[in-house]
Amino acid sequence: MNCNEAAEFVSALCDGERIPAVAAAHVGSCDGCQTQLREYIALGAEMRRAASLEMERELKPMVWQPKRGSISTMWQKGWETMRIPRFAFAALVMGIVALGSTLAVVKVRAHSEGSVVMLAVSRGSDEPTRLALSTVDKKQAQCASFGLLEKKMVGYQINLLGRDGNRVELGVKTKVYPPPTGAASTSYLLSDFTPEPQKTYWFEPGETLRVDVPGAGALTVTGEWTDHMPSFPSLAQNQKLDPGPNELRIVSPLLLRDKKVVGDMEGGSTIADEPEDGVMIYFPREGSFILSLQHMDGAVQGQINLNRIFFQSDGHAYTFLTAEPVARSQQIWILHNPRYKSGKDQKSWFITGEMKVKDLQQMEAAKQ
Amino acid sequence: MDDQEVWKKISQGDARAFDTFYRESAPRLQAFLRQIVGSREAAEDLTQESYLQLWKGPNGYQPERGSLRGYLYGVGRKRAAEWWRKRSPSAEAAEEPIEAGRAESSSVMMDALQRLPEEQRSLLWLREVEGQSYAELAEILGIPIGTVRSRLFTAREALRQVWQAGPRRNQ
Repeated sequence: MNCNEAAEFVSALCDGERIPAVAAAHVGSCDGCQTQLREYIALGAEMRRAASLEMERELKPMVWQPKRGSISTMWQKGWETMRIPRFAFAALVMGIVALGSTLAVVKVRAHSEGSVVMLAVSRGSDEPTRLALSTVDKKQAQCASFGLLEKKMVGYQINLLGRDGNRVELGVKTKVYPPPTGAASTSYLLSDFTPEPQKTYWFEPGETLRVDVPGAGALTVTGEWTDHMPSFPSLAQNQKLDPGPNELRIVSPLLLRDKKVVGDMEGGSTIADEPEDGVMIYFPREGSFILSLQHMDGAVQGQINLNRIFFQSDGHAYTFLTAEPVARSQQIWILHNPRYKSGKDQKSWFITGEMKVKDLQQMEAAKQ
Repeated sequence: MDDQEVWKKISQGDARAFDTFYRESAPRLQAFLRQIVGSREAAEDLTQESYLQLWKGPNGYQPERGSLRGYLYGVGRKRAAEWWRKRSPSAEAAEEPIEAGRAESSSVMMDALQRLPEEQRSLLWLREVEGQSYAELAEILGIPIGTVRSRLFTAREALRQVWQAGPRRNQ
């Protein structure tokens, strides 16, 4: 064996590896290879020394926010059926400013005057979805959500049927859908629950309720009393007003075309927070808008200014006005398809949950 | 706490346990990423993004494929590659060694490392500083385990050449 053949084994010795006897014999008797070994070892030690200096540098403190509801949630109806509280849009913006940097939900103790149950519905290891039900306002006593459970697409609708002291009676309907691939993922309607049987449960906030979804697994429901109906139950409690990295936040958007209001999605909200994710918004007569912070082929580039998104499309100047700052970035890309029509009910707006941009594009293409 | 325990707590949304894990392990990832991107600020952002990814999607980690820290190094490296792609006009630019003097480093060794291609830098750092095994290196860098030894040799030899050729100074 010569030095060239032994060189790789010299390196392997630095890693604590055993080497063939013939290589070991050569290295033991060769001054050049031993020099090489010593130099490799010295370089390793110098790297660790220099790295130790690097690691002394200060770490940015982080706040680990409670996890938000996850992707596949999709609403297909306006607020009349989704049970998101209605209030003046201007008041919302002013309210947020008055609250400073956080939106808070006030918890109340059991046996107090709390009239709203905040539910956290968990689908296995996934992040819980927050839903709010009122015990005093029947219009706000029903919620629904859609999402993946054990790799199966499920929907559930929860009705607050009554209250007995600190307990509430919940009526739960569930539905299992085909896997969300391509066009099959496009329609999840509240009307889907109409033919489904309803199971009733007594639930006491503070305890845990398990709801079996036949053929898919189980939902875990926890909850607590609050003193009011939160503006956006699906958003995380104590959420910062300042968007996080890669976050695209669309909250209660109003759409203006050439300075005229052409769409009002009061109460609809979605947060996408992965770089490759986007959000799709649909307004009747205006078509679909896929929004992403990353470039999309065929998309127009828009400008973000706090809670406004400005862009030009189809010869018109559009503005999305939203209730919260949209993103850290000032650039956004919008794929506008004025010919898009939603499937079963073309009269209602919808906003998707966060989804991969490519899935949104597939979804849109499937409806062409 | 071992990886399994940490991961279980993260999966349960235990923010306190995750913060402890972050404080203990993030400086190492940050130092590693700084060698890849050459910018302290970018390395800080990429470190945060990597930990956020784990916090928000702990199921991306598969215990049977290696250590949790090894997984984070893989995530960080991919994000660094993405960072380079966005920054460079072409993907190939990310494979080129960083220009001398471009990195924000005052260390002779760090400067020497910056003269190596990214994969060699990563390989040497993960082996010499982080003590990752050949199997973990293969997983993090996405290369066959059979080639780890030869690539480590190539990287060591490249560093030795740069080290011998470059100026040495006391820090």
